[in-house]
Amino acid sequence: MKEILVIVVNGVLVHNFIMNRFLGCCPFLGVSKQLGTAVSMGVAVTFVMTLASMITYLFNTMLLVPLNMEYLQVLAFIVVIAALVQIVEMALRKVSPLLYRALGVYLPLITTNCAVLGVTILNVTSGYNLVQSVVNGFAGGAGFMLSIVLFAGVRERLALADMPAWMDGFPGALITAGLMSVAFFGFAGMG
Amino acid sequence: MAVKQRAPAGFIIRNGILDENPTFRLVLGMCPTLAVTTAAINGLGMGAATTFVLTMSNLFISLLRKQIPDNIRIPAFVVVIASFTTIVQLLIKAFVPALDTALGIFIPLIVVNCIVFARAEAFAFKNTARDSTLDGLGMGIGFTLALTILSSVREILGGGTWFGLRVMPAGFQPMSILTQPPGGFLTLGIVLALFNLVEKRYLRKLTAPRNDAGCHTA
Amino acid sequence: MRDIANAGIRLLVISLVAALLLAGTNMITRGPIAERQRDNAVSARQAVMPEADSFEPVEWPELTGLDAFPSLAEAFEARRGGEVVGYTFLFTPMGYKAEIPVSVGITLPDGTDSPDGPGTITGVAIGDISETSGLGSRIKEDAFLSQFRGVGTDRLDSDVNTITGATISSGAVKDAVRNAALALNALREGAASQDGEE
Repeated sequence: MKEILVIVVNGVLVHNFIMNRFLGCCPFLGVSKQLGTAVSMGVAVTFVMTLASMITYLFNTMLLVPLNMEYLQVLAFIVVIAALVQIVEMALRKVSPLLYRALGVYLPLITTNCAVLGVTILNVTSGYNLVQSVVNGFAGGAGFMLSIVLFAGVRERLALADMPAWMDGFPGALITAGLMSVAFFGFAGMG
Repeated sequence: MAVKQRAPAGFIIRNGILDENPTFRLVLGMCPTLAVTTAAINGLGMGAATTFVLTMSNLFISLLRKQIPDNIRIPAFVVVIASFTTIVQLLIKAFVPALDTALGIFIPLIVVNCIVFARAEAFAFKNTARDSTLDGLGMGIGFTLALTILSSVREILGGGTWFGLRVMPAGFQPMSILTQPPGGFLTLGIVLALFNLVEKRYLRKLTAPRNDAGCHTA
Repeated sequence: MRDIANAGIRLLVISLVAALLLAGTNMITRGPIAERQRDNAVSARQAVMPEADSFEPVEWPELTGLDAFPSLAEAFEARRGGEVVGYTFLFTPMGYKAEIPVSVGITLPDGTDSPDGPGTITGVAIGDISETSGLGSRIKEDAFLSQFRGVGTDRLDSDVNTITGATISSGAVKDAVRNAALALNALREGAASQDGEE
């Protein structure tokens, strides 16, 4: 139980996927202009990361390791993630059109989100078991969501500020993210 | 039949390095850019590995483009790119182990580097093998240059060394925050701002980065 | 339908070729990767226990049976001319960013009349790390590592200082050394109880 708690605190705060590990920076910078879309993106990523952690774990331990084909990990994982995202998208469209309308457009983008592939590889290199992997996937996603939602909140205000043209857009966003990262840096040592 | 125009090699390569520099112009592939640029050698190594994958996948996708129907192109790209990523990963593990330790998870993550995917979709799938190879090479060099510049700034100011050699005077107090995670965001933000500033002053045209949504060309 | 089958077959062919290509690369690189890991391990053991001339893996049960050492990766008996002079341990504690491979060499206490006495550390070496350069990376510097050399396992806390600004990384190394001392005790207790049973 304590171990699970450590993974959660680590994933959400100390080794936050965006602020510390730099995984998933593209959607972090790209889909963070509005709070609402940031929340949707965060939910979608968390959902896929949790599910992907479980499925790639099973795939790895039941297929790749017994067959001695660990060198196919990257290829297999990315294909599994792409298929998973496709299935989730189709299922969501059938089961809950409302949810689909909210999250649907973000799902295809998640395949190329390095946080998802990153967490599945980290699960393997850290030697996590099934439960730990799933928890790590969920915690990583929650950490991603925390960062992107906070960041979107700041950016919404920032959009109203009068910035010099050469600072507007990416440079300003990156420096804001840098300052946020300093705050997260304060969690170092807790893990 | 229209005469096929061959773009000069220099032009395609220059495009990747300057006009469409993946880091400073397109703002793609942010994860490795922010994460591994703590030391100049890491930036250079990451750039070289990405260049290999970019060039090879561009070449092969271009060669296969007539064999790949439109509806399966995305999974086909994924398979090709993932294969070359794994090849480069295994080669680095075997022959440059120190780089493997330094770059860690970001070597396998080349597969989801948006630059590679974006070039496959936007260039290699529509152009000849020669042009696609050159495009991959140009983009790769542009990416490598950007990573090397960023990591040099971070290593020199944050650690007082460059490629592991001490370059700052003995009294220099390193700004160690720059080699920490926040330094990644701050350095890239400041370098991008300087780019904009110089461009505005001297070239009188401020073109905003074109791909505002990061990876989402894929 | 025909189109789907056609597309499926093409995708399958591409995937198969890719898998074959990767299998080929794996065959080429497998040797060097394994060799490098072996070389690294051997040179690390030699570095932390210079006086030994051969190393034998320790029988595992005594150590793995205890959950007390989750980060213990390897334990070797260091021998000189066939006689056991000490032990080397490889621990992989969590550092600031990733696991830090720490090799520790400890000699047995002098004289058989004080079998429970403290051992002496002969050396500590750090493997490949990805700690922050300029801070955590300083644990590889001799200024830090040389503090351990010749220190009794009971004097670790007083004689070895962690590095300011690299508290986590250097603390992890110190913990690993402390664990090595505990592991040595566990080994000897295990050996003693086995003798008792015989």
